Amino acid sequence: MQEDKLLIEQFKDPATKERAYTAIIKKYQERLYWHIRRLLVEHEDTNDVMQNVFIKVWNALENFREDSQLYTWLYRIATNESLTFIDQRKRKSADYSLSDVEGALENKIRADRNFDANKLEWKLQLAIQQLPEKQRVVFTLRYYDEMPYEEMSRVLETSEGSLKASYHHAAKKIEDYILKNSE
Amino acid sequence: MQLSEINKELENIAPKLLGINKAMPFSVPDNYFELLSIEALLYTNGKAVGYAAPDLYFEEFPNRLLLKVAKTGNDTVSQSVPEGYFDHFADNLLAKIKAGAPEVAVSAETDELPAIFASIGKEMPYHVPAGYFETAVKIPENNVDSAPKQGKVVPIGNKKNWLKYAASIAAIGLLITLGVKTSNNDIVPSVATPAVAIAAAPAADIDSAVDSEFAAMLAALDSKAFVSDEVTDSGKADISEDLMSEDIESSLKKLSDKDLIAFLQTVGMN
Repeated sequence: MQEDKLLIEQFKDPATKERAYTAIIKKYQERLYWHIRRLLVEHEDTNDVMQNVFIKVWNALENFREDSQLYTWLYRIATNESLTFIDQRKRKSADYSLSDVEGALENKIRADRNFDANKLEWKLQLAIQQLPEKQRVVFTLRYYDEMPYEEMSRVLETSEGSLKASYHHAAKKIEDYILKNSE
Repeated sequence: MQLSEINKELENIAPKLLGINKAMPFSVPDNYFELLSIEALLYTNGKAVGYAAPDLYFEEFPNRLLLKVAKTGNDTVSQSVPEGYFDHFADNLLAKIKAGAPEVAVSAETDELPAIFASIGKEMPYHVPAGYFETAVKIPENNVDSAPKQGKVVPIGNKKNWLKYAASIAAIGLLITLGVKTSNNDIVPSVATPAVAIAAAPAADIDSAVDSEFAAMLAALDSKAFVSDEVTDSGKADISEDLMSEDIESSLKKLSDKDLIAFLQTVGMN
């Protein structure tokens, strides 16, 4: 965390701004990339959102008040940008039914050349796409990023109780989906 | 410590999920990870990720982003207009139009296309059934008249037709209004014509009125006046004795108002 504090200070200094910016990206790019990619599935979409996230970082980090950790702040931007991207995709696809749009991510998974409907890892990915967006975010942050509820609460600006309930519902739904599709 | 807590929590909620490998199953494109080591794909807690990222994506990402940011910072430069652009814009445009600029522009664009397009050609790859254009859109000659037929002209907005429709609607409306009024026994028509008065009166009242009038008339007249010669010849001297009230009613129903009035005039009752 001290390292982040130093990076933020360097970013605020015009002489070291670009170097600090590059260091922040290198430090967090992979974690954020996979967080976004789990929500959007496709690399191209993930890349678009990644760029939006770090452009926002460039524009807003100067005014970052350090009330929260840099890591939390980045995750919040990444999550919001991902959800905004999904909403925009839905609006652009207004001619199609909502179920078609929601099924698009599932179709992308099924289109993967290595897709194997019999493997649990693939079933898990399909099951995650069945979840409502917010449950999807909560589940992936907890299950893959192993984020504590306290931190997740700061990222998503939601109470810990609500997050626990969302995770509980998500995990049950995913288990039900996998069991149902294993018969 | 945190990991065990999360696994314990998951075990309580959905134990089936504990047995699933958390590695992402997505394929890795062949040329994506040449320079990315397995370690680069491992994130916290050593979980392998199977999603693909393009070659040098992470290495080049900061530079690409810096370029993009620099570009957004130079908006004023990129949006600047060459000196004298607007002064000569109209003249330049007119000169291009006069010189047949569109054709030149198209050929210039096609010349600039990559060489691969020259080898592709412009032929459409779609298939059309053999002889489609010869048969599908051919009009049979025997169905075509040499002389053009005079088309039927239908006038639009014929006033006479509209008047007819208006008169019909008015007549129907009047009939409906009368029908509604006459169907309600409590309503007395405002127009006191005999026809309307009769139509508006209850059937029982009409019957009783006719009966009483007829009885009074019989009492006042010589009943023999109703007996024809033929009947007299048959030996029935007083027909009224054999007449039943039903017969009289039946006869009266068959008798029209006009005939009844004429009869009453002849017998001096009117």
